[in-house]
Amino acid sequence: MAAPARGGRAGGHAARRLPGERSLLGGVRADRIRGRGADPLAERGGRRGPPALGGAAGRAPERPPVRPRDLVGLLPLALYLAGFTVVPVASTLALSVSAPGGGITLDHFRRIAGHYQFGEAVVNTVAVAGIGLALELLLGLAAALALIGRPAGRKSLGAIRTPVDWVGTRGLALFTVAVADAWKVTPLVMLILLAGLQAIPGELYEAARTDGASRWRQFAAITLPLLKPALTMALIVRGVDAFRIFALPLALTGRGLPVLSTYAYVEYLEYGNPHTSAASSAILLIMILLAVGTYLKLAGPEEVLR
Amino acid sequence: MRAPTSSMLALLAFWAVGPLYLMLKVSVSPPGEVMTARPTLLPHGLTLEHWRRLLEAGQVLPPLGKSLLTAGLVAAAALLLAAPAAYNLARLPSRWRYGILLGLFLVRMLPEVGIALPVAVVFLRWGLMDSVTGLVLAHLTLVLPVAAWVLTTTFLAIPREVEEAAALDGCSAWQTLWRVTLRLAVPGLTVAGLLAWLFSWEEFLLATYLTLGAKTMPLQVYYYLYQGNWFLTAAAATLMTAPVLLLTGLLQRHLRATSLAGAAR
Repeated sequence: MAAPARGGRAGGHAARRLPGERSLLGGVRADRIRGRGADPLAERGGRRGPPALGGAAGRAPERPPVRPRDLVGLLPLALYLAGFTVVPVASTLALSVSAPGGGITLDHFRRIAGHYQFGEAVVNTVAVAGIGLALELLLGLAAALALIGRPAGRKSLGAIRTPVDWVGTRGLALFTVAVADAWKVTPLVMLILLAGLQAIPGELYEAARTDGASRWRQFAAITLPLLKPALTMALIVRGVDAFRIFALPLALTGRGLPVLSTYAYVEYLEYGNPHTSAASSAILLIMILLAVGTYLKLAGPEEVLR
Repeated sequence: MRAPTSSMLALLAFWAVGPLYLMLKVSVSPPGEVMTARPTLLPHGLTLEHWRRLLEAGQVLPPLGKSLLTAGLVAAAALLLAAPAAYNLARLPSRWRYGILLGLFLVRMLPEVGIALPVAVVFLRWGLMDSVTGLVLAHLTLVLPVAAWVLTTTFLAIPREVEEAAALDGCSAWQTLWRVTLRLAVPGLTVAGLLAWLFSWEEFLLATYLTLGAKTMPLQVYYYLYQGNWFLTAAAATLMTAPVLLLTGLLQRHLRATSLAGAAR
């Protein structure tokens, strides 16, 4: 069985090298199929050439080099994102360090650093993101577990009931905004975790039950470790969004709870200072990069994009 | 189903639907029922006064129209730009694919305030402030990475053998793409389109930067909120929620948990 399979792969390679082959599909596969008839190697293996086998060979680790035409479909998207995202962000960064009279300066950063609302915005951003993420992950996990009917330690759910004993309007505002954010995105977190839970084979739980493992033990020893990629995913995706929170604090508290996004917004649209606005955007970008970088380092990058 | 699980689910449903109920309730409640120290949870009186005032003032329909048009165009443009890219991505070696997807994720990480500022400056020069075109262009920047991500997952799930079989049956490359691949991709395309639509529909920050006069629906709701009128806010917010429920309801049969999970990224 091994020999014909190799033959099929070789035939595929030869077919792909035929001159004048064009594929609008942009994929390798269509080439190979149409090339098969013209290629002597493929011809020889023709009698056992069902498409399924060709498919198996196509998944083999050795692949043809990526040609420019395999990337044609990506071009509009890449150009668009470069022009409307990367360039603007780069010009924001430039704006944050450019002196009004020309040249480079750190004055804008010094200025916002001396602004008490800016310090408050940094703290609020981190706090809202932290509280919001904790709520979303707990609720999202509880919901996903309830939907899939897998064992969960009751203890993990109990944490939701833990009262937050902050007093004072700012603490309350932070909590309100975080809860509102959690309300909005918990379903999303739940979906990510649900997909992760569905990927855990049920046999593991059967085996654990046979061995007499408690529900809490099953949760701690099977569910949590195997759910780590999905949890990482949810944490990073949601974490990045949480740092950029904007509409909720503005709608719920007006100016009462500045976060970095609303700070940048007020600096530009109300005080008309693009430089300080750009500087606080730059700080926000750095915070996001730091948070994601730290987490990736802790969790291992290969966990992320599976 | 065991009792704890179903009570857990009931609790979650309550958590999800509760705020929507309150919004609807406030929009049809007599002011005296809401503006007290102890507002009731169940409705007692019923009035359409707030809705009448909202619609008669004529301030809410133009934003509604602008948002509907913008969101529709964003969804269409997102699919047109992201589908070819995702198709290619799904056919690339995994090393390339994950590299590019990681790049898309990095683009998505960039703070909107950093994007909005220069874009607003340039659009002012180009005369695109207040325009649907400008808003669609801006919204696409944030929608495209997600759409490409979802659609890549979709195309990855379509076995190549199906395309090969179509080609063997005599389909041209275009026919295969149109009659086979895209048909199979309908659930994923629906999810990507719906996400793009939803994103644009509720987008607030970019709209704020790119609006001088012609508001979108979220800005209009915020305007009522800023005025401190709870009832108009609730009515306008209900009006803004209705198309969301309608659209998700209509597309329900195309939505599956698995494709949505990809979407969540």
